[in-house]
Amino acid sequence: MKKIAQHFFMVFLLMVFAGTMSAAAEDVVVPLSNPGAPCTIKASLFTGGITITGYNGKDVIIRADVATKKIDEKRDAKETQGLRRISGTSMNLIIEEEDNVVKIKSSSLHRKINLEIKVPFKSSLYLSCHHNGNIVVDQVTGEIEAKNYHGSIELSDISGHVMANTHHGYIKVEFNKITPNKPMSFTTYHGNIDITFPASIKASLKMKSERGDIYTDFDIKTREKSTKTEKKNVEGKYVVRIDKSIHGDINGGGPEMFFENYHGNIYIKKRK
Amino acid sequence: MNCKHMKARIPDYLTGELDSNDRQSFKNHIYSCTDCREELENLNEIWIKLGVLPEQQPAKQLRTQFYSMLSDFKEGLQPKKPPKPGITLLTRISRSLLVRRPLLQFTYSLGFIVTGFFTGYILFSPRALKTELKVLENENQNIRQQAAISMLHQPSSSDRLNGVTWSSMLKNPSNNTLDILMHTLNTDNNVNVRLAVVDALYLFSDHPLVKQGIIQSLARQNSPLVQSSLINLISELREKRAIKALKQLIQRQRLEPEIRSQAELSLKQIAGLDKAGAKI
Repeated sequence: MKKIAQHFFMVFLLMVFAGTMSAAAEDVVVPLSNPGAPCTIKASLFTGGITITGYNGKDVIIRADVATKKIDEKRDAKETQGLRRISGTSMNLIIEEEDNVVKIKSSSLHRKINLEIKVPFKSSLYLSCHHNGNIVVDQVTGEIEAKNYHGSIELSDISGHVMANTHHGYIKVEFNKITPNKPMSFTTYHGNIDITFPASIKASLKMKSERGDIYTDFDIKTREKSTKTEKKNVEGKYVVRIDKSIHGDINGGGPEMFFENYHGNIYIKKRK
Repeated sequence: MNCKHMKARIPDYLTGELDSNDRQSFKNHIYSCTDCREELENLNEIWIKLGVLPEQQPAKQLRTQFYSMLSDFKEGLQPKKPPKPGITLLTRISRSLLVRRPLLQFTYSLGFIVTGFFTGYILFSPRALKTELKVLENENQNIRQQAAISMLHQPSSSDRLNGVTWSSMLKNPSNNTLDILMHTLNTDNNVNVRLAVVDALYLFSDHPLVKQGIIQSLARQNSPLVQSSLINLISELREKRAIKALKQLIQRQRLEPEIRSQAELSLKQIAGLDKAGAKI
């Protein structure tokens, strides 16, 4: 019962960009309702990418860039002759702060918005992109959940635990430290999975690459798990099915870590 | 039942050690036989009087006597003084034949150890231990079950993933747990969690609830990795009901080509099996 104030709903509706804005992006500083405490960022975009960097500060600083369309010289030449472009950018971005949770949403489907966000080092991130953009995170301590579809996910200098999934892109994560006893999962369909862990990590790995290969410089003790099943089918033949996933322990085993893709390779590396 | 037999049972009856059948036949006999009834009444009286008797407290004298005996005993443990001169050889031999107290102690303790061992063996025989272990294991399973369920409801996807791992360690998951797993498979917004659920369900795929749920779930999945795992599982189940679900999947417009061919292969296998089954 430390903070009854937490029950106190403090919706901090910061701003609604609507209509036209100048093309020059401006920084939006979002003060947290509980500065210094870990914060949470929830950002989702349909078109565009999200770049997040940890910094030594107390506010969340958001810069939204609306990508300007390239001018089609040939087609628009006649119409634009002698004219100067003021702006072609309209976007719809909503930023909301409530109890140290910052939500950033955009319902803009066709205009690409790039978000560049500076967050305090201790932040948990829930990020989702779909089209035409990557998720990039650097220097953050906390839980990260990243979901993309067409783009990649690249996380560096991370302390914490990660769940990442994309369809076309690759996943690359470099850990400084991991949260003990938290399972993680990295899955993609077309891309590579490239994860660097500290050498002292304890984990039980479950790796599966349908068409790719798995590489590691860890001393992994693979074990045959009971995924091999033998059954007698109708014609009396024995059918042996071996699950393609490989199970292995690093440093005696620990929380489960899943790595799965279809086309790419999986790399599990030791941090040097 | 003769009277002799019944009289022998009177003490058991009074202490309430007869089981219900024996008690009933005993009572029947008492009603019909005056001799035995008299005996019962006599004994009953004694029994009641015994119960009324106050508990004896040891007298003060007894206490002092006990302590003096104890000190005597302690003295006896001390090394024996050399035999006084003048004692004949005969008495010395006879003394050495007597059981010394430490030796007596040793035999007593040995006796206790042996009886203790056998009682322990009888009370905690492997069979008794086994049932006890089973009870403990069941409790453990219940706790795991509860833990898994609560983790599957957490907002953090990492915690839910943990919940899936925990439920995959259950031996006999309850219908409730399986329901929640199926619900997670169909509605969880994180692909990684859904994928882990399919892996966990491999273990319980013989359960009718799971079989049906997996087949129905195919139509709800958009992630190709989840689709691929589900198709693998479905081909293994060899269920005719899956044919329709696979056909529907193949007809979807947005489907990865590899998944489509995988589904077609699985469909062929199941349909082929169906024909083979019909021939037999």
